[in-house]
Amino acid sequence: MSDPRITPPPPERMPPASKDRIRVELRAATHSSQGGGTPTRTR
Amino acid sequence: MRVDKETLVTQPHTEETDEALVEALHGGSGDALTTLFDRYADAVYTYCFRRTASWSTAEDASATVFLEIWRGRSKVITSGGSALPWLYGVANNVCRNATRSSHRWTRARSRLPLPQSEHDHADSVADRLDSERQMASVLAALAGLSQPEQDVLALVVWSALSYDAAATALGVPVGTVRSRLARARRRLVIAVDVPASSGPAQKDDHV
Repeated sequence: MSDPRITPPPPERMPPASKDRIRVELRAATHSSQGGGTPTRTR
Repeated sequence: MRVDKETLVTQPHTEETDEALVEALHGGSGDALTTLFDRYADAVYTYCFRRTASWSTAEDASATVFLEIWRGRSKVITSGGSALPWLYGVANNVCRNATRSSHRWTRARSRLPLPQSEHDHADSVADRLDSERQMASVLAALAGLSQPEQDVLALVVWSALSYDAAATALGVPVGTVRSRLARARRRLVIAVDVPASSGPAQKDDHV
């Protein structure tokens, strides 16, 4: 993209500790039920 | 393992395609969700940052995206063999909600004393603040665009999705993606280089 006004910073990796935390959350969600919780409208 | 430098998508170790993973997801496989997370966490994290200008919000939003993928797993589809467009589509909605919440949080946080950063982390904290400022300035420049126009710009220009993939992400016809992008570009009144990989559908769409 040529215009710096609308050029975002380069992509970054998620910190490994954050990935680990989210993996734990995902494992809990997939093991606990068919998804669990109250779904929010996302699609 | 190979990583795409633009999207930070981690290429799979195995022969397992996104289509196979999505099919497994439809059948309730938590392992499929974890594999999709390992493959696309960095791409979704970056996308969420670009929509919110906050790394911490992006982290929480990324977690929510994958939890929402699990909750709505029966509806997930691939586009061009990739699950990423669908993930970005969910991220659009999650980030919209997250941004509303973060405005409330930011107001509350502004009343608290500033935390003292550890010296060891000073550089990385400064880098993160710099990129957040840069991103906030980019989002401010786009403030004149409607939300749907910003969505298309983020998907096609920043994330290099094809028009077809962006249409899948947004749940709209391809023609709508084309017209929204054309409108966004006219409004910005600047030259935006749409990636050549966006496919033949855009060849006659330059404004």
